[in-house]
Amino acid sequence: MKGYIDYMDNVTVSEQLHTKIMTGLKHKPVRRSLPFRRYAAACACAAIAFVVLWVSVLSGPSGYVSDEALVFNQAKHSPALATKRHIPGYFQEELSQETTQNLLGDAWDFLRDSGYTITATAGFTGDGTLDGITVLSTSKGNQQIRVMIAGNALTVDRQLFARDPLISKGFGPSIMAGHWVDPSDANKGIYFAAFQLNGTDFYIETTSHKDADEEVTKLVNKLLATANTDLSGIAPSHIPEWREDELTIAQAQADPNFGAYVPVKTLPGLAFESAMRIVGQSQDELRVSYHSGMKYASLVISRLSAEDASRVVDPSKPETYDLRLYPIPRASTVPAELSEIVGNPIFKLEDLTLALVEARAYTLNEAGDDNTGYRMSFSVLYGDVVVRLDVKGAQPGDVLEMLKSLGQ
Amino acid sequence: MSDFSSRLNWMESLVLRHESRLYRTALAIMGNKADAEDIVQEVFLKVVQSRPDFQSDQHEKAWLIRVTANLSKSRLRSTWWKKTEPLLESYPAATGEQYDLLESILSLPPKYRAVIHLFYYEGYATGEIAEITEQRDSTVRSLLTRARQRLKTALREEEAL
Repeated sequence: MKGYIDYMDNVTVSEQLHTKIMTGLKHKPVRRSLPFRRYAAACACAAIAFVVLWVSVLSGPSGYVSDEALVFNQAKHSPALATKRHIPGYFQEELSQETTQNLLGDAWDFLRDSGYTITATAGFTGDGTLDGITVLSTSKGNQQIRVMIAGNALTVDRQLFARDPLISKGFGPSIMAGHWVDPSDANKGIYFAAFQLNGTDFYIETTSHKDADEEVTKLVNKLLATANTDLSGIAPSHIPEWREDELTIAQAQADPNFGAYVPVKTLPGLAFESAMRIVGQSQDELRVSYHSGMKYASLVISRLSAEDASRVVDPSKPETYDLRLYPIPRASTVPAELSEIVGNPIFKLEDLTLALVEARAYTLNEAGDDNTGYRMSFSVLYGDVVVRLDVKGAQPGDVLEMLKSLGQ
Repeated sequence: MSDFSSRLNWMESLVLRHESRLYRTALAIMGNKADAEDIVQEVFLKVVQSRPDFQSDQHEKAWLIRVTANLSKSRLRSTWWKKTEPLLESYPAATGEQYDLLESILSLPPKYRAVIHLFYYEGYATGEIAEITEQRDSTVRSLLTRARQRLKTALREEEAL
């Protein structure tokens, strides 16, 4: 049911629906049930008074903060998590300083005069349509400010906040601003603000420092006054080749780059489900999945990247891969500096043993689930090819046998 | 803070706290966005009309979900709805890995979808679901068992294709 829960977690009420709900409440005549007829007249008067008061309350601005200072609501987690999504053929291009200056208006000057180095990147969908723009500004002291500009790509979810957020209205457009503190280090965190200007979404985020709230407030003011919301001139210089081809198992096994790493013999009880060959600006991989009932296995086959290289583990250091050392919930038991490598270690093929596979095997009971077998998640390095495996409902010995058979 | 502001804050706060949860519940039962959007709006109108006295956060949440489930059931019973086919295209986009499971769940009859959603997503026990949906505990348990069986069958058939 994880897929269903993840899916539903991403379903939220849109700004439009929220507005419809509130507008509907504003215009709906209010009626209270009257328990005793003899109190009808008095209660009718009270009801009329309530209607008048209720409509006047909802019509007024008092649900918002109208001061000129932004209200930074306490956030439960970083809003960047809410923006993860899959865009077919996504690619990026760096924007010139001139284009960036034109987009940000006085905010560009403010950042430059404050000592920031400014770089901007535009993201596009596979057909070259602009998805969004990210401006990253870095100070000499390594403070960072991100300004993200996009048509519909960014939303700051109301559920991001620990309490119902107060929305700043004193600036013109509604501005939802927040402050998130990194739970692992109270000195780290971000200040952020989101608003819409002429139909274009803006999101500003700065790493926490003494004047971060003031900095965000100044940036918001400058963007509101001088930002260019006409993004029609932002187009890619060229559209890189990309593909996302669904393959049969035979086609996957015949892939000239990665076919040798697709198992000829699958894990017991699992059947081929799908295969996808993905090529893009930053991706070159073959994905293959198998499943049966609640059991599944998925392989992602790609070249070793520089980022991957830091996750290749030394078997003599079990703290970097052995899940038995870290009880669930691992978010609170795995040290922060090891979380990435423990989450997805890469074993060299020559190091791979049953003991290592067993160190990655664990069970997790979910109501209504088929709990036979183990869950495992790790990668194996074959020369310069990495095979990432995610499996549920398998035995370590079978997994080892399958992995040893790859790359022949 | 004035009474007016208190009242506004309370209502807006209630909407903000529950609108997405109720929308998900309505979407799970109705299977299409248009009906789910209508229902979640109706739920909050019911709050204004009946002004329930919530005893606790749990009571508030359960009351709102119960109204959502009841309004969904009413709409499912209406002649108009029976002539309308839910549109798969109207669902929010799912990732490839989620699609088969979602398709299987959404192909179940609404009564199964309701218990699946309340049990797995909202985390209610069968007894609590029985109270919310105004059914017997044994009926809820039976619905849940049958829903799981149907899901397993559907996923097996999917696999065989």
